[in-house]
Amino acid sequence: MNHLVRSGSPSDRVGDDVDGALLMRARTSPDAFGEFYDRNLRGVLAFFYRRTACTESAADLTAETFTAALAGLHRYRPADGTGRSWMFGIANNLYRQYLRRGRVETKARRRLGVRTPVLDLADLERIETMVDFAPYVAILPEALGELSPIIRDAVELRIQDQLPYKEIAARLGCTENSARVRVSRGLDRLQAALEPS
Amino acid sequence: MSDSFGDSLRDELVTAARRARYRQTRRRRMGALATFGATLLIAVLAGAQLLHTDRAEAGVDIKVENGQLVVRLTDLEFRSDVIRDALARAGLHVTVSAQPVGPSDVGRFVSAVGAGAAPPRELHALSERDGTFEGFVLPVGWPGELDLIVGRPATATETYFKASNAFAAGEPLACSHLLGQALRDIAGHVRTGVRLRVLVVSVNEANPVPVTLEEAIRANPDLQVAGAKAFSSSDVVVLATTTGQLPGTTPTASSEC
Repeated sequence: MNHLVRSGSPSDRVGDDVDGALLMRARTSPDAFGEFYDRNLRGVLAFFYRRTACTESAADLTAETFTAALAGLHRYRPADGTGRSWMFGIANNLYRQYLRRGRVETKARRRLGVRTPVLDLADLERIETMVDFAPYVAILPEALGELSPIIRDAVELRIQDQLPYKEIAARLGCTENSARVRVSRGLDRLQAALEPS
Repeated sequence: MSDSFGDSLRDELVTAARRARYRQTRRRRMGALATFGATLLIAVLAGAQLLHTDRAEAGVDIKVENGQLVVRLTDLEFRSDVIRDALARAGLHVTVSAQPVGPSDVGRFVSAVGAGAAPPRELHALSERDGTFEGFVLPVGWPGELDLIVGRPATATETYFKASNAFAAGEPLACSHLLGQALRDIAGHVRTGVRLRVLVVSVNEANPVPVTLEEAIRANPDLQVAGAKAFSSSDVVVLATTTGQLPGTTPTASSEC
């Protein structure tokens, strides 16, 4: 089974919150949570990979997000929004914590005893193909001019030179966490530049 | 094609969901009556706590009002075990840890996170200030998950868990009277050993980065101090604007000078 190429069913009708229904069912049916996971794994992984440009961190954040969602099932209320938006709220919180602390939260996984699978080479390649950074590279020369020098250097080192954060930090004379924040901000700006005005 | 990570994580999650479901079912079999009885007992004990004037936890004030537990830290209490035990006696089983903060945030809660990596919706913070709070309100017998972090005094070399208002009492710029001053005038007023950086807050700068005071003065010596955050006892970032004010906020300095 290839989870990384799965996505929400195209037959989902607008107004039918399938994910929300699955979350409600998952309170009493573990398999419903599996189905929810199948529908959203790719989206969550891409969400994190697009922001971190780091496969390991994206996978780690994804595992924590789904575990936190599982741990917090009883808090989900359909009236508060769709199941997917609720889960991406969790994802966003964990991403902000990751930027702030420079490491991925593990609390939910520790609490529920969920082990994070080790990524093999095929996984790494699969995740890396999920988000195409080619458009970023294509607009880099023009878009980089819009970034401040400190952000620009970090983005170039990560996207063009594909250096690990440790090396980017060493080259920029900052902490790894600071390097992550700079790349993340740069990617956000590039993402905005890619969107049609 | 097999998908090692995706399949393995799915197995882990579904197994965890089954474990949780099993525990839930087992708990239910213990009987709703027992739960009701326990809640009643908690309420009685918590109420009795109110009448007990010789409490060991003088730094944790817990009251029951209209079915709500009202918790406040007093006397700059920051001992996590004391706070945790006091809460447990009131029927609230939560984790409490202490993290280094500036003097103005000692004995205040600096974080409250529930199972969903966010504050529980039932929790209402009391006396909030700059993202910290003195206490909170939760329903008696509340069964959820809660991780609290309380501020403890940082050592000279520790980075604060949460940046504090650098002008507050005890903080690096307390009594410095720098608020509203032009950057060109502030150099001589900073305590020795404090590393001062400047963050220019402007609508034209979407990604501001702190620079040294010298660099900031070279760029625009007329900018005024609108606020300051302390990241440790020796690391301060001054927020500078053209007006000496931050949009939508009123800067506060210590009144104990």
